[in-house]
Amino acid sequence: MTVPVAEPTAEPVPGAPLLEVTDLTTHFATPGGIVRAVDGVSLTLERGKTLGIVGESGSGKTVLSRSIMGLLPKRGTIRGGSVRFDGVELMTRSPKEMRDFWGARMAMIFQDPMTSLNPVMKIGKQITESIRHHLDVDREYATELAVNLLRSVRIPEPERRLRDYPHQLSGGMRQRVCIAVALACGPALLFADEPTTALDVTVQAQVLDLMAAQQRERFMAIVLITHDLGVVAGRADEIAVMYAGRIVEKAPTSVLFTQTRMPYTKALLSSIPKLEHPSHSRLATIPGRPPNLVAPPAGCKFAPRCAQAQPRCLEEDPPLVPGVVPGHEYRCWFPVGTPEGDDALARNQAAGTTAIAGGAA
Amino acid sequence: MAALRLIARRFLQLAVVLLLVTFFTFSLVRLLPGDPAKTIIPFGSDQQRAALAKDLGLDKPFLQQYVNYLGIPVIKSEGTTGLLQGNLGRKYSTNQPVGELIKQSLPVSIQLVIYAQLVALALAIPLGVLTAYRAGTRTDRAVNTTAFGFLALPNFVLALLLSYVIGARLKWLPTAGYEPGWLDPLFDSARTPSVEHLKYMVLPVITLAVGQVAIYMRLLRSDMIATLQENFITMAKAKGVPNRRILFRHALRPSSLTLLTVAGLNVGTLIGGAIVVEVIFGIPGMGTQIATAIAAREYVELQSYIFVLAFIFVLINFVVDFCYILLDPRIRRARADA
Repeated sequence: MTVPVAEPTAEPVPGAPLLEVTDLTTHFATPGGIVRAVDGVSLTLERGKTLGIVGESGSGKTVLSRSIMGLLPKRGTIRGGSVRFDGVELMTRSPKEMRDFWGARMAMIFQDPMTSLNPVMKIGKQITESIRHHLDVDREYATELAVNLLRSVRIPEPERRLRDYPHQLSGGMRQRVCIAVALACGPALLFADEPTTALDVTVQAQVLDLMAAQQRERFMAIVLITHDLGVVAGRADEIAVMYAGRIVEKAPTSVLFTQTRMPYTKALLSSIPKLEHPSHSRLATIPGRPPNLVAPPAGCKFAPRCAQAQPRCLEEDPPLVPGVVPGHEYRCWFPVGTPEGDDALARNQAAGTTAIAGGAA
Repeated sequence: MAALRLIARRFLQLAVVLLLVTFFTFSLVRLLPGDPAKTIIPFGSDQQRAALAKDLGLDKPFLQQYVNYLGIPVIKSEGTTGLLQGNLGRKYSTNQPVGELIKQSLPVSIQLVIYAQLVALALAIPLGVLTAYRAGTRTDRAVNTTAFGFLALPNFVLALLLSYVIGARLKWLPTAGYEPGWLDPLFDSARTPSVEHLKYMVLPVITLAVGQVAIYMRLLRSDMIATLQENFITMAKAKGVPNRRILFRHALRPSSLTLLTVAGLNVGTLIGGAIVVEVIFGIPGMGTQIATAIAAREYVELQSYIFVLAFIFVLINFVVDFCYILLDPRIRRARADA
């Protein structure tokens, strides 16, 4: 059976990347002030590729993905910059126009499968709903498509499951249903926002493998958002590390792991438990908390928590600079693995202090 | 098996509720100042009244009267007839069976309340959805203020106003009165439905519905605002589902449990509780009957009315429980496990 795919709603520009985000800002007006949740993010994603976005809770990953898709509520949200999808500018489009993209050309999988399916609607209805809305097919055909989708996400007895309610399925099953819903209209771009965080470890790999298989089959691009570098390590073509609403380091996956420049990335990497460590070894953690996004610090946003921070880091905000390998970019005055960085770290360790502690004294 | 046990438990609850209700109404009715015999023969002698009281069984001790009313066979009693035998007693003054009176007045009230609820919900549901969707905006505030204005308007004021302006001055609708509708023949085959029925119902229905719109709307609005924050709503949005469909197909059902509960309680309350509206519009429903029975100290009549209303109240709550199951499939399992 051939799977119908939603027609592109606007004329694609030949040769343009699938997704091109330029200087995207997303601020929220709150009673406490303006929260700079996403602060000047640029990224590009080609068809069929996977971009990993990694960062702690509150680093702006989720807001970034929803802002790119245009899913944030209008009131209280201030968006700036440009989002081009298939060469078409999305920032200026109304929610009504965006509905032709949502579910059809770009789709999203959410973190918590227990709450992202409607509890009072049968699974089948939730899948066929977007098929019927976006594709010009009748009910029988939509149901047939839904059965095939459920089968392709490896749900046993798909015909019977269509008539089930979400609460009758396990967490892993529900996330598969969510994937089926997202894939229903054959989107070109899939946002997966922490798709495995709420799942049992044994199920995590299965769900990620399933997504990878579907990606190959459909030549779909994926933005995989996670707080776990381990999740994206083997799956993303490129990884962007976010901190305080910005990209602090971005590189092809292998480069990020071998030529880490940003101390935050290094700290994230060393917080992954490794098999070769003896058991009961203490996990490396990053001291402190992400900065307040209403009044972020003046210099490098990570400086207050950075082991090699120098006085300059507290005053001057480091720009995103290119690394040696094409596509590698980072923000740091004293990059890891360079003489300046090693020197800064050695100086701090010798003094038994950091820029913050030193400056405050 | 689980379902059978559930039903059995419900019937046990029903029996307990009815026993308590009858006991309390029986006691409270007798605490009313006044005396039925005196109301029936206001100018007679004390002997005449005592004879009447004996006839009506009012001379017997309190508990014995109660047991007789329930129809529990006691050794000395001669031919017990009471609630257990399906006998609701007779009206003291006219000796009419109370059951006959209920057959005439109950359908009147049921129709009035059903119409009022339909009108109230038909207004409150779209308004509740709208104000939840536009929460905090000018639309939200305008709708809320208007609705609360109507809520603050007392029933009897609105009833008199409508009756005077639309009935007496404009003469568009009758000021008061009643014609049988679709439900009356089911209770009393002597009555035939009249096309005039709806004309007589318009004003009382508006009076009853107006105050409820604000309450229902607010209940739905707050539940709906909570539902709209749910992940599954964002998910539906990300599927490209239009707003109208998100609101009415995704969000409304899981938001309507509180509304359903309150609307159910209201139906039960209003069937016998729309006294003011029924009296002003001259509608011969349960409310009017109860008011008259209280004034005339018709103990048995009053007790039986309240008994029937309590029965209906409990019954409606069964129906509401059943509707929960229809609205939220998760409850189906929880209830079956209980």
